[in-house]
Amino acid sequence: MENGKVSRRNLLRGAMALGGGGLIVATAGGEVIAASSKLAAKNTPTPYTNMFRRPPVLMPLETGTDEQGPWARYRVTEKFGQAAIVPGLTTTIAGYNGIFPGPIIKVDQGTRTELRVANQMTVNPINRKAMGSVTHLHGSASLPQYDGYANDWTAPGSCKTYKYPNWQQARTLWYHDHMHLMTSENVFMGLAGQYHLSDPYEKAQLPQGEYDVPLMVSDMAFKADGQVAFDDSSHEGFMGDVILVNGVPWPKMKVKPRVYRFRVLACGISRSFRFALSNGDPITVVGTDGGMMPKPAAVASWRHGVAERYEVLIDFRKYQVGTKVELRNLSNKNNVDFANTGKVMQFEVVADSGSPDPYVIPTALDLGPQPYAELGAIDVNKLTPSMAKARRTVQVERKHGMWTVNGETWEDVEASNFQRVLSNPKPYDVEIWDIVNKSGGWFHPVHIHLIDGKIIARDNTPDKKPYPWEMGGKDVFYTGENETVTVLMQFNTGKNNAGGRYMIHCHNLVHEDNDMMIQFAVGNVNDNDPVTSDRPIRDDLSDLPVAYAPSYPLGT
Amino acid sequence: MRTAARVTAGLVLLAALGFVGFRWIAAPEAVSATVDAGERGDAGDRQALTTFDGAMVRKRAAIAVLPADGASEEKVRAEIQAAAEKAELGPLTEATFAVFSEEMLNYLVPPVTLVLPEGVKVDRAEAFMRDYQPRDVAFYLVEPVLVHDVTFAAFPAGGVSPQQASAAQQAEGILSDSLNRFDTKVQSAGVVVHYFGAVLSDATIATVRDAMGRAAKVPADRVTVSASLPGPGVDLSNGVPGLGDGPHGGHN
Repeated sequence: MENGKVSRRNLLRGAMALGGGGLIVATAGGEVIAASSKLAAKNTPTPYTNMFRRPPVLMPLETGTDEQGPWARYRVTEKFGQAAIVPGLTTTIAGYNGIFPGPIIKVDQGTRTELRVANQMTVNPINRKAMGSVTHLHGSASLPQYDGYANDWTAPGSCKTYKYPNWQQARTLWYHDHMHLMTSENVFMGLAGQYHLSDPYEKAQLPQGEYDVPLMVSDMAFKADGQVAFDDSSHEGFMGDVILVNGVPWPKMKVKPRVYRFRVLACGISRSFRFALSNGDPITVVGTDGGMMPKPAAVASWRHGVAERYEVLIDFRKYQVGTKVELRNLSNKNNVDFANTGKVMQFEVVADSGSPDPYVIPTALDLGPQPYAELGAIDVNKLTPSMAKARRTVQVERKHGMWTVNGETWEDVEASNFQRVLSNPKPYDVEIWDIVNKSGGWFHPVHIHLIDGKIIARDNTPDKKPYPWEMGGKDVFYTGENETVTVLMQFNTGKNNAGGRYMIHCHNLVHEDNDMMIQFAVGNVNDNDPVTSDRPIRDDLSDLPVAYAPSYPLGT
Repeated sequence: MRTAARVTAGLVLLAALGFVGFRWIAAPEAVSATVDAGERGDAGDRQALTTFDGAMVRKRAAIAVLPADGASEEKVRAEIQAAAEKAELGPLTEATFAVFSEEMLNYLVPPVTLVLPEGVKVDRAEAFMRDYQPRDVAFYLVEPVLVHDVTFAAFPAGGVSPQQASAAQQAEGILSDSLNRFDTKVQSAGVVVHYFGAVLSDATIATVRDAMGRAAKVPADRVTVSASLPGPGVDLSNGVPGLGDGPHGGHN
């Protein structure tokens, strides 16, 4: 396969003529495929019987300091592995280091990282195609050639070293596949992991260590033999019937009577969630995609689309030992629900031999100084509409049977030799974008690479304001059916990044693959060419032993 | 005593709101937020089915309007409204594209949707658009549609004021996600939400009742659902009935 030679339109037309399989539920003029697993009863997971686990934390291969400051080098290998997800069977997955979720990478602000990603995969079992890969560090203001540009793919047997600046304030990022035409299949197979950027302000104000817990929530469906069942032939989306948290179906977690911080990431393909506690108690949202919120918000529930990250605090001090509380999914419009997709995980409060937790849930958070303020960077929370140099409309819509952004697709970008852009601001310019979804019965989690945006309006809330949980920096904007969300953003490239081309797309990965993606450029459209600046190379290094940090006991 | 007082207050509230033809719903049991595969019903553009039918579901003619390039949607909407009043078609009700059939939405997702008053046939609406020939309209279609015209009412538990219940409901945003467009009125006895638009599935109605109930700190089955208008409406117990004429439309 060569870059840009496949006609997605023709693929789509062919697929539409053939129709899809599985249980078909109509959406948006097409069909989302909602699949029930075909597992036998003995192989069907039962909610709250499997122990919670955390992904391992990857240790750097090497660390050091040079004239630009500290650095760390990491390596991961994309390869197949066998996972015990459902009882009595194993499931072939493709993951970073062969595990799903991939290992967590933890980095301090100001430490530059290099992540060498070797592709040792062969053929994707879902589509029987060569499993090229692209790695995107979602939430990072990376150079274009390290941002996971969809056409900058690494073939099996090759590797690419991605370089991440990590100058941004503390936040929960995630790295995942972004392969041209195949992102949904690659991510469904398991290519996703969290990446935590820390800074002194976040460390001083939010729970750490054992009480700082990653939650990667996804939905899957399984064949009778335990293999993943994925079908995107409708090109509308895919929703499974088994909810996984960190790769475990509906786990149960033992928690101490303390305040826990959960870094919640919806890392599935299409499903969105509305998380709430079963007892109706409030949850305090302290962070969004772009890091800490200046003012935490206590919410009864929150709407959470694919790729969004919300950091939340749950105070278990108020419960008696032995109390069980569920994290539930109340669901949202245009999802397809199954018998147990309303369940997510269960917490059971256990005794704590230590001293009582003195943590005070904050009512305000200090985000610390804005990096590169001297170059014109502005804290996203302090942007105002009067700073904007332009206002644009980003219309996500279905047009002539195609998923489009402003009527265009990635195929149009390719046809222009990657020159066509929605917008061409200069570094540090501020713009307002109105993301408009009038595409029929579907929601679109729209991801804008590079930037942190501030939601300044929603057109269907009674006061036209954003929801309480989204009052912080965002890079994914949930745009529900017939909704318009207005976003203020600065094109903050950081230092030593003149800019270049970055993608905008729907993070329903089936929509992204088919072909709801365009791009913008900061500065010169050909600076830092994302495909040619730093090509993948042949992987001629042998595997090194993988080192993970000591973990916490299973179930905690 | 307290329950009786709340029921009385509720009846007073609804009477005050002037809901002709109100009936306490022989309410279907609230549908759990977790349902069996594919039963939710209104994901996507497919016509949802509901047991909240009869007077709550109405057959109407609706106009799907694609404004001309550069034309303001608001202006187009206002012009057609004014023309309809002049033509004695009565006030048109705004709705979203979701009222239209899946087949039509495959073809056109209209930015402007206007629903005609009950009793106005598709032919009449088509003739109106043909005769009016609005300049700023690039294309239109008229289709017979089913709409839900329903009123939800929640009577908060003791210690929770209707204002507090309304604020909690608004902050959570479930109604905005589920209904998209709706009107909320805070009355002395409770919170009333009027919805007019595409037919809602039982699951979505259950979601709305759950959300309103949670905000009012009462069980979901204490959130009433009633027809906003009198009359028999549409019986969906045997599926969607034939809606009569096919789509009509044209270019200007």
